[in-house]
Amino acid sequence: MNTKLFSTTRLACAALFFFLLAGVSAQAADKPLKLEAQLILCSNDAPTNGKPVAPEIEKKLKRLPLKWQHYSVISAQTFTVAKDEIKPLVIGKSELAVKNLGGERVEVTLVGHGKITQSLKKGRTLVTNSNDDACLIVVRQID
Amino acid sequence: MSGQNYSSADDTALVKAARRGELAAFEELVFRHRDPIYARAFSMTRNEQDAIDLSQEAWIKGWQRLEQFQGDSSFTTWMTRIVINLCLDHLRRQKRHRADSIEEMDEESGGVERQMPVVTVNPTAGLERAELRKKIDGALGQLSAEHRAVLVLHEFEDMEYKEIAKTIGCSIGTVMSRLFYARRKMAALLADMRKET
Amino acid sequence: MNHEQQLKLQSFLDGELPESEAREILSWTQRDGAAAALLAELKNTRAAMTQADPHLSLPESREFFWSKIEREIQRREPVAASTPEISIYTVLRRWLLPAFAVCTIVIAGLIAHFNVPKTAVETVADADTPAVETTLANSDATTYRDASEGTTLVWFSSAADDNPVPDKTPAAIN
Repeated sequence: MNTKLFSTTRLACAALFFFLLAGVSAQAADKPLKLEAQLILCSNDAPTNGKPVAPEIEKKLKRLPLKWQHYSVISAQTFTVAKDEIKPLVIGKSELAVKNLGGERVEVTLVGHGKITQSLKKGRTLVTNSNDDACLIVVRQID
Repeated sequence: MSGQNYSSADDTALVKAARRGELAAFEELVFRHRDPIYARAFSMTRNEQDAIDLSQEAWIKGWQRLEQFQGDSSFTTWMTRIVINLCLDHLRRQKRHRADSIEEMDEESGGVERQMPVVTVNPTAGLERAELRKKIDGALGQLSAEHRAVLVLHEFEDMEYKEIAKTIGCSIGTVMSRLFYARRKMAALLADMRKET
Repeated sequence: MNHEQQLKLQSFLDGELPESEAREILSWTQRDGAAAALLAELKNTRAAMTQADPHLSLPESREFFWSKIEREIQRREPVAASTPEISIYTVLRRWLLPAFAVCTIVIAGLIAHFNVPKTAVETVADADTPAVETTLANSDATTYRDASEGTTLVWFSSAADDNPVPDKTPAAIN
């Protein structure tokens, strides 16, 4: 074997491989995000309207320090946001603007209330106000 | 390169072909250079069978090390280096004669060859070539393997000091000292032989 | 005459000296009888050796000699062929070390690139902690994080709002 610790050829090949990998990762990081926004009706009575929330969302909501016990989905919207794109949407009485900041981070503006910036990697969920009474908005990344 | 062309190809082309695994090309190289390689082995070992075995081993090593032949010397010189070193290893493994030990002690003390009287009469003048070879042969046999190697490489192979040093793996100064000792010893031995005849 | 001078004489005889030194040695041998005598002896020995070069012939036929060599080459070759087998560890080591070095550099670069803050809000916010800005001067935002579920609750409220979060605002659930 060569006495050199790193053969120039092997180093070049390894560098090329990992730069390609880094490129792919960077591309993946900047890919458009597919998101879902749900308008959730909250109450302490057993739900009569709307369909029940998905079990994983119900579990998340029940762990939050909220005064409600029961949740049901009133409406849901699926949308895709490219990097640096701002997607406006209306859900119930609320207006949202969702911006993809790249790296699976988003900036969610709840018009009239404020702006939230955070990571929305798969498995993470953002829960925020709705202008509808006794309602929440849940935003998450989906496949 | 086909087998038919080997006999007309030069050594460089044959080496290239042999490196590609063409054994027939290597056979042509063996055929061309087997005699000088055997002669070198015989000069060193003074024994026909040992010389045959060692020259055979040298060719096998040459095949295994073909990639190392850079072409900076002739193919024969390169093979000579291999066979000389094999002979040195062989002779060192053999039981040393007491004379060799004394010879080495002489050299290490660095004085005997300086004290030898200069041989003023040419001890080989007038000798027939065959007789001369016989006397040289006898005298060579009385040198140690190391002294014999240096003398053979310089006088028979026309190698320069630095080439000899590279071949046997020692310094140029050592080559010069050993050569000087070997020549003076040879002169004394040949003079003694002359007196006996 | 010391040993060094004797070796110089030998070097002169063998043509190993540079021209200027060779002229000096020649001049010395012309002045010094002992040097001349030694030079003559060395010359005689060299001449004798040159004449006595045994141009011997290998005392075996070409075919027989070659057959032994060929047989031995073929006998040793399978061993030579199998020894270069490279273990998976050698391959891993040969490729892994340079790959690891490059990977480290690339990852460091990516981390630096993606962690460069673009806005003041992002400076504050890390991956999990949301950065929140309120639009209205008299409004507030309450934030809860459930790290195990990956849930973030951000509740914008004003004094007039019915806050769904109990008065005893617990710390973020972890």
